[in-house]
Amino acid sequence: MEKHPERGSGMRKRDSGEPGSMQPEAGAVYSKRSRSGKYAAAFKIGLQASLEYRLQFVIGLVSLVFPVGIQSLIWTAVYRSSAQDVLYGYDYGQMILYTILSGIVAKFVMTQLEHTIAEDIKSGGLNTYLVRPVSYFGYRLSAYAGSRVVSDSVLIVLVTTVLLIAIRYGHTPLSPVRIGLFTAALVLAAAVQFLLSYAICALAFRLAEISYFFVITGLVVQILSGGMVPLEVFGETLNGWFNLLPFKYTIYFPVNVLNGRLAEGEALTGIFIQCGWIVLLAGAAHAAWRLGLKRYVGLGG
Amino acid sequence: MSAITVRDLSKTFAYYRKQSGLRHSLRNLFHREQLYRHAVANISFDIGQGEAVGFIGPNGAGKTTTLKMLSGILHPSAGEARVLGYVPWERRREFKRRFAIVMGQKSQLWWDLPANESIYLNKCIYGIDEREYRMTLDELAEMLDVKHLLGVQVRRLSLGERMKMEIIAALIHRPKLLFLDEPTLGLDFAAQQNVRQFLKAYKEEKQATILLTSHYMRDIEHVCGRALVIHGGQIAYDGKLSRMSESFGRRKRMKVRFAAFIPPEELHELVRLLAVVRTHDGLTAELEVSADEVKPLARLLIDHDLVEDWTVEEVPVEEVIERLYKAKFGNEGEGDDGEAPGTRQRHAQEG
Repeated sequence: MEKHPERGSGMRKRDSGEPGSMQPEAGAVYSKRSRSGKYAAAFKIGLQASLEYRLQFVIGLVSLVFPVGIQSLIWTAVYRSSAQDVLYGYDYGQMILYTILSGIVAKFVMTQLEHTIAEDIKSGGLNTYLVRPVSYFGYRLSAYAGSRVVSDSVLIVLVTTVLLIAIRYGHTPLSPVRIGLFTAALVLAAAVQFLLSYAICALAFRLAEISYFFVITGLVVQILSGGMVPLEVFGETLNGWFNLLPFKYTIYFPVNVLNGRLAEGEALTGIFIQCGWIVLLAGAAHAAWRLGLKRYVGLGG
Repeated sequence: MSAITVRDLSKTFAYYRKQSGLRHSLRNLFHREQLYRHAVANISFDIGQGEAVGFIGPNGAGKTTTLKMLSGILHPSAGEARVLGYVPWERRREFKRRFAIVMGQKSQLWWDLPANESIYLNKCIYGIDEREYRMTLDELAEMLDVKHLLGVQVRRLSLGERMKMEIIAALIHRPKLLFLDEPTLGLDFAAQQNVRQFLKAYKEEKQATILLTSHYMRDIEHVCGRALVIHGGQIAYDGKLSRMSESFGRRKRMKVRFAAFIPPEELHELVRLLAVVRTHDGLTAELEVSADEVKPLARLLIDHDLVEDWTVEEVPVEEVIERLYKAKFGNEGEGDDGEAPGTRQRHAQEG
């Protein structure tokens, strides 16, 4: 058990002991490469950690079956009992397709990260990031992106399968342009949602117990995003308001790019609006966090 | 050159109080009485480059709050501090590269992955080159005797092993300034000793500046030459550790269990010249005695064939701190808790 500190010749070799030897040169030595390196490392570690939680993802996926299944049953009943073939601008097939796709896209876009971040703020886990030369935002984003690689691949396979089946049942095949537009819309939607959560999380600096808040916002956001039912269901007036909010650009919009309800031009406009929201939300999140960190109390540890 | 300079640093937390009961809970929904707690109140000190200082104080004394301000986690409410020439709460990158903080209760390790993954992440965060990283990792892991555990999932490690991994992760960039907040909390004796020896070796080899808080006086004795005693957010003692323990360390507590009942007056009379009776209930007693007098006292008790069992202990740190605090701030009306008035006077001179 007894250890030999003397063996640590490496320490001495490197540092000759002058007070200045560990000092400013440090800044110069660390190259740009290392800056991107740390976020790549965070990405990798996030990916590795996610592999430890395979089961959790599978269960999450299985849990998707229930809401989607129930909604499909309800819509089936609604269409059967209705005299019209088209409701809210969707025929039966389109409605079922929307329900399934929005379920999958919601899984893709919804981060569930707000709980992690709020917990970091509340219990002082943020401390360990504040003292290291790394941006918390960059670190969390990279680790999160890494943790999504596997699950997102599975989701892509799932989307493809659903679409292939839909095409078999008479849905118009997708052009490569549309697939490209959808990919862009989906990635941007994920960014909008991430920034939205990140900004909301800054509230944890003020409110000690925020998880209840997330339960409500999660639900509201999912409804306003079109994650439950197509937004057309809510009528013209409300949709006018929805246009002013970022939510519909997270689920409703990418799904409608994919199922072809939006023309390519409209899709492009939507993508620009998404970019606008990203800039706006990034600014808001940044400001909120700056303020929050000032009054941060770093509890625990 | 001093590594740390602190001037009139204060931190005040706002909180609210709730009396028990539903009625007050409801009232609290609408109106909360805002109260302020001065966690740290106007403290000032300097720590030189290469100095190791023990930060001692009871729970809630302000130790951790001070460390958090010095490492840039918290903004102070008032006052100034310079650490390695930087204002810590500006959180400059260059500053962060040059120190480390180990918090006993906050982990920076990824729970589900082996510790070496988290350590490697820190290598990337601090931008350490590969060769140097290997060397440091080998060396630290060997000194702490956890080389064989680097590949084990963190959640499967024992508390002590995990703490050692935390230390390695924190020191992988070889900082010259080290803050440690209760690094040995909850560890078993062997692990505590190992961590202590490691810290001492690290300090000596790197001429590192160390500020260490601990509940265990031994940690501090082993690693530090100087003590900063903090109580109620104020510095109660700043000076050589040896001088501090001189005032109290030379006194011992002897807890005695008697073979038969002995009346208080008789015991008092018997030990009068050697010890002070602190408590006595007929069958057991606690005597305070100067270290030199332990032997004569023991002999005396044995000669009178009184003792069934005994232990000799140090004066508890908490009590030492309490006395130091009273010695310094006693006349500011902290409220006498029944100690003999003479002791205060005496310790005031020693402090």
